[in-house]
Amino acid sequence: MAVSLEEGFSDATELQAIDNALQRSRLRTGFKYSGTLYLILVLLVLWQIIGSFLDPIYISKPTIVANNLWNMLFGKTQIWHDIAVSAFEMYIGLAIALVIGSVFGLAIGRSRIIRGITAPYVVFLNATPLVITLPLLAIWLGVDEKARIVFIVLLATWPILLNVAAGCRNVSGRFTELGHSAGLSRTDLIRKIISPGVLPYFLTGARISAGLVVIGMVVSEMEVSLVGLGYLLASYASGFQTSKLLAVFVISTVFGLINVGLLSLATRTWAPWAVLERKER
Amino acid sequence: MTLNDDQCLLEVRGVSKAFSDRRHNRKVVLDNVSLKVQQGEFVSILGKSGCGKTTLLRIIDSLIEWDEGEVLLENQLVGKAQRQRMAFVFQDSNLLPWRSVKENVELNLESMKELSSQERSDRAIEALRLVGLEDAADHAPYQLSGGMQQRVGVARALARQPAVFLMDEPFGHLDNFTRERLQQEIGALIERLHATVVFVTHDIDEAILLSDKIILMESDPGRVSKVFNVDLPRPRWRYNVRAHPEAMRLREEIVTDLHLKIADWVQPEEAMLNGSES
Repeated sequence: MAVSLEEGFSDATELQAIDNALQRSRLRTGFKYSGTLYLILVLLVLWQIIGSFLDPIYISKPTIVANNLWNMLFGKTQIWHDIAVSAFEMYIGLAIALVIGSVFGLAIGRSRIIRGITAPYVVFLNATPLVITLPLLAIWLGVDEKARIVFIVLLATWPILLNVAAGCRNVSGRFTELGHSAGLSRTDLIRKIISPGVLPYFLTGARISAGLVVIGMVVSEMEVSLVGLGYLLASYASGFQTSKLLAVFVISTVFGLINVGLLSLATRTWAPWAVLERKER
Repeated sequence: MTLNDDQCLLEVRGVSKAFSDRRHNRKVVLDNVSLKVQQGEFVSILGKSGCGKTTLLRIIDSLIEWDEGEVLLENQLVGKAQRQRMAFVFQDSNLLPWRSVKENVELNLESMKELSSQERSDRAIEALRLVGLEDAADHAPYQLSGGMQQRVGVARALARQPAVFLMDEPFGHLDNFTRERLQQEIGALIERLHATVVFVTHDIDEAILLSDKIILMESDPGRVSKVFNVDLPRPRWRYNVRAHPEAMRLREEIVTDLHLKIADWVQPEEAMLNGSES
């Protein structure tokens, strides 16, 4: 009555069921996105209808906003220079934040001593509304892109730093013993376990920061700039030019969507397990 | 005890370990623990949570440092070469989510520079075949059920072809049905391979079902309190083991021993009541 191993370990049906479930969950995602799209259309129509009854100074109308947008991009009042300035600040800022955030995040995640020393400052700075640094930066660095880039870096570094540090601790805690038990060398441990393990945390932080740089760009340009999307927003707002304001708002939003979308794509390409693991559980 | 040193595969001699907490209070986790494991023997280390049994297993694999005593594999102090002859099975399957099932198994072979990548792959597939998961080789870990993941964890250890398996409550996190099934399946596999195993558990029935020898530990500080030999016929089968008179006697003995230790920290009044009863 001893159980035969072949019989005891057969899981063909279980594996098949898992594959089928995966297939189904992929189908469901497709449907979800089309629902989002319909909702946007409904909202635009509603906006158009309500906007027709009000002074355009309040919420304008999608058609007028679209017209302004067309003029800004391809018509008489092109604002490509402002877009370029804003994009430059944003992406330089993001790039610097990625480097600083990763380096300090890794240091804080790996070393208990560094963590102990810096923990209060990290909590303090992360809790501070960083907008208050903006006037100071303008005084120190002048009203130009240097101050704005530094501000964007200040804003965007934290999510990356905190995520990388948390990921580093988490991965070390979960897998360091496994690595030691497998006899991996120190370099192999970092190359084969820590780096790939931290990658999804890094990408999560980067995704949050990619949204924050848009905010950083707009806020800093509203305060310390005579150029860029934020400056345009401020000047249209003070002139009650709501349609133009909303057109610039759309451009800024598109930047945010592109940034976050690209990083979601990067996560799915470079760290698919992090996305799928969450979905399956 | 008449143990011949030449037969002894793994030996722990007088190992002690103390942790100090934040206030620099020293807590002795292991106090002068010694044990011997013979070739082909299945030894369980049984004890309550916090008795240092997992710490002991980690010390055997040199995963943590200890204060006194020594660990010997085949009469040699454990170093790099000896560690390569041991394989650890973790309580959580601990699979790397970015690697496929097969790549996870291969991880345990990557420090063995003498193996070619083809040999590594062959060994991984062979190990997966032993646990019945060769079809899942290219799946991602998260696609597998908890029981299957734990079997991949066992396969990862098998691939090393180690002299000793060190298993830290490998079925502890599984649901009851899966646990019983894996106890049977992995038990049968170990029996067939004549593998040497040091198995940490807090489950008395599991220890009796699988072991040749049970080392009972007491806590605060962790010490070996008693060693039981399990003289039950093999192959063992959960339901005939449970009803076997020898198994019942052994279980009774272990439970009594554990309860005696509990009486040590029962309030004095209650202890007296118990005393007057007997």
